[in-house]
Amino acid sequence: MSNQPVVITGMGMITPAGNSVSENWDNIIKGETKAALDPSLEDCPVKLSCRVNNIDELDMEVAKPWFWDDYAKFAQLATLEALRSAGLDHKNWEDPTRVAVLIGSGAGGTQTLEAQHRAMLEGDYEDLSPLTLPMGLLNMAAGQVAIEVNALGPCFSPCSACASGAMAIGLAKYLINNDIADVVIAGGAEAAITPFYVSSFAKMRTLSLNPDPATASRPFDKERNGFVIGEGAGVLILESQAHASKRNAPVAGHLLGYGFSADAHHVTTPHPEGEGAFLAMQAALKDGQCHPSDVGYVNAHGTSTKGNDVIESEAIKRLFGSQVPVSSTKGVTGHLLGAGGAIEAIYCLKGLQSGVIPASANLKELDPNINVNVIAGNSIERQYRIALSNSFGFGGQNAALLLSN
Amino acid sequence: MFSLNELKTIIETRFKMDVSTTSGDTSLEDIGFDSLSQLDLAQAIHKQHGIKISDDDMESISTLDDVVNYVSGKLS
Repeated sequence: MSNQPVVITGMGMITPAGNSVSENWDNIIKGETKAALDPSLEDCPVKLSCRVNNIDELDMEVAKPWFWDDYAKFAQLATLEALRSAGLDHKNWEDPTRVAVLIGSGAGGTQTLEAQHRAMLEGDYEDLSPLTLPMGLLNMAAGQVAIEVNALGPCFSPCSACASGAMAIGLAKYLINNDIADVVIAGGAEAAITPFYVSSFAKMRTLSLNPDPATASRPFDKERNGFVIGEGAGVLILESQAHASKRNAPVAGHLLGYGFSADAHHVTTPHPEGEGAFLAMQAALKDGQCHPSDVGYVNAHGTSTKGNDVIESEAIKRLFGSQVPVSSTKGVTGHLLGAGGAIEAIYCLKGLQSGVIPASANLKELDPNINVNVIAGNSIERQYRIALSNSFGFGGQNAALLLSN
Repeated sequence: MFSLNELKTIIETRFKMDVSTTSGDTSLEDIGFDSLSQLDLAQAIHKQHGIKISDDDMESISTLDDVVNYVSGKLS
């Protein structure tokens, strides 16, 4: 057992901000929100979402497209981009038993499950597809990716709601540090923009009721009133230092540490003092053997909900002080739930690589109750060595990732 | 009668798969169908044409022509 940093050699993503890492990063820097009126939500109390573009075209890039729920399809496409960028050929693994797949999700194949449930209720048993569970189960993104890339190592799907993707990436380090795997394909995937899911979130008063797509997702803003749901996937390739060095792999960055915690407080409301968020960030620093002053940027969970943004900022201030630059990229992408932590880890890595701190899009007037250095307006150029990414899930389940270039 | 073109239309609609140039003697397996997908195809045919292909009969079906002949036989 060691807690040595692991090398990140590949990145791939499909999000509302683009269908590749480079397209994503360009749009994150531009800071334009991807929220839009969603015709599929016409009868819902909330009608905005952040959708992946050109899904039909993406169908052409996976084998047997009918066999994939969108969330698993997103995971596979992000995986293929990540493997390409890592210079790995999944048809020629040195040892496929040492390749693990961890794809987290909050909702799994809910599109499939809901559609098939409806088909059965409107018809009968004969109308239920035999593909319902193979497409609908929450572990299937990991399972299908492992099949497609012939990965024979550990394969599972961490589920901690909106912290799922971040936990998958943290657990990748655990597998490598404990010599269980040499290569881990890790990330999160989500495709839960359905009337059922959106209405369920709306019932909890967590979605923005702002009808204006341009300002609905506005983390840390005084006028924020909820998140905008998004979809997509982010996948990283993580390797042991020895494995990456041996094959002279490209280095996109390092995962220095991870920290997990529970609020043990309430199923949806954050701990009032942000204790769980604080503990997760503190544990990530400890795992990465870093001091708070080493961190040059915090990519906040920053959902644009009333509760999260204030409490998270207090936890950040308690650990890092009030000067560390903070932003949330959800102003652009919306909240990708279980995929959020994975795509935001990639944004951190891109920021570290390019010496840029992305601004919090749509932030017009900072909530006076937020007392940290939230970057608004334009992204800023700054060289920094370490970034921290937060992800918090319903159930009070928290994850923080400590990343470096 | 149930034609090869009708079967192809079902496959293209249900499975988003281009089988326009696929010949009737091609096996379902060769165009990417596993056992679960074949059951799904049988269900789509049942919905549209009212012909139920039993699980036992599905096991003896290999090619697109086999499906066409089976359904045509039942319809007649």
